[in-house]
Amino acid sequence: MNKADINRPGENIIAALGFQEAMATVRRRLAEWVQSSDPEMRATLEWQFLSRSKYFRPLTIFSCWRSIDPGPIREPILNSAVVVEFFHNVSLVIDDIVDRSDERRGRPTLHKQFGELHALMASGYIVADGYLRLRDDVQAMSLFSELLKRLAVAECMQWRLRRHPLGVEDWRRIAGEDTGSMFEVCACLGDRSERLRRFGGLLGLLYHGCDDVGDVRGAAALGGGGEADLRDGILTLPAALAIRDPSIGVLFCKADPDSSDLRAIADAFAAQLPNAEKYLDEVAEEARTEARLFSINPAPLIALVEQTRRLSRR
Amino acid sequence: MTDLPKEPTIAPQSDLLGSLFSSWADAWRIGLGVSEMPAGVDVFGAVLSAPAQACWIGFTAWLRYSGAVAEAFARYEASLIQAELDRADEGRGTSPSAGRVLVDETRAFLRRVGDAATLEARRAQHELEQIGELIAQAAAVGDGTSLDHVRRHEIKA
Repeated sequence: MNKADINRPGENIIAALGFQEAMATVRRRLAEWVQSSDPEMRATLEWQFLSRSKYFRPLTIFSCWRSIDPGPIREPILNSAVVVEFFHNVSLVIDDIVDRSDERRGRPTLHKQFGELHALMASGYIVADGYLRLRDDVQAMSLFSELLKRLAVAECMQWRLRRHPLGVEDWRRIAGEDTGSMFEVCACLGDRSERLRRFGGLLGLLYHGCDDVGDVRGAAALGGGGEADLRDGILTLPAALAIRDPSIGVLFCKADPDSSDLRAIADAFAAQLPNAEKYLDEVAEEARTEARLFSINPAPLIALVEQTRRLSRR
Repeated sequence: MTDLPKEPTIAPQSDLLGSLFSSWADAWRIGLGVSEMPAGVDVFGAVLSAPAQACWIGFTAWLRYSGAVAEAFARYEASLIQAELDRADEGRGTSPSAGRVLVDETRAFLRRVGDAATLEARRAQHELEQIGELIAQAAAVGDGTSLDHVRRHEIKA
């Protein structure tokens, strides 16, 4: 479920795209906001926000802006980049509770460190302050509302559909509403014209798929998470391909698989990696086509696609 | 912003027919001088040619869409035919898992056809907007009007 820990775009792409100053502003504003928060919440927010995030979503917002406008990044765009980190972190906190994850970014998750009450209350606090920060940016408010609603629906849908013998099209639908909605909204926040909405959706789909594949590869750099998906019967891209084999489909749908079942499933998923990579290559090409057709300067968008595509191969 | 995107020239490799006609469309537009539209151009003539350009854009969009549908059909042909045979046979010869795969493939085919339709519609709309804006810019230059009103991608907030 968690697609956050593959946030490792690194400083090189941020520098290559010329966003160091903008990203420094995002970091500074987040730090100032944490310091100005209610003392009751401060330690919780520090734990969640002042960790090792590399801000892939703000980077997406800035790249979409740059692909449409060569001028300096405007205040509403900067502010949106700060607020998207608010909402992204809320989704991480909730995901970690739902997934029963003990660790994120190499240290205890928020609920593990402070308890579920603090984690849930912090989520509400962050959402409320996120909307407050938007002030009169009605367009951004509407987009963030869309995001929260779609994430909620995606999470419920993903949970309801676990351990079901579904297909690649179902995976695409779930991933499109989960990570896809986040990046769709980032693209819209960046371009402010909806021209890049589809690009954002495809980038999110690619991100989600690369994370799925990276998990199967056991790539520690991607934050793991593959075992939880396996145990919970979550429909990942390799899973959707592997369960076309009826014997694997039966194991995947078992309510309480034993260790040998899990090993057989993991092997079947690994065998599907070449097909999954091929599928992701097609998604990446769709995203590149969108960038070329609907932006003035596709270079920053294509750089995002290439960066994301590499995540499955780490 | 007043800066307009250049005419898209890159198409998926598989979209050969669409690319070919798209290139013809580009050449045709350049021949008319519409894509450049320098100051002092015959704006009246450009406005009169707008319906022809709209028709051409629609035509090339239709060609690319037809190519995409043909490509999708070729890709999923075996599954689509098998699904039809199964339906005729009332599914007696197909296991549930094989049936699920056929359903998945059929859905992928339908999604691709829908995606192609949406892409071409958006692309055509984008191209028509560009022509409209070029005409407006040429007219504004001709009569000395400000171009501020055509800032389509202005930040709303």
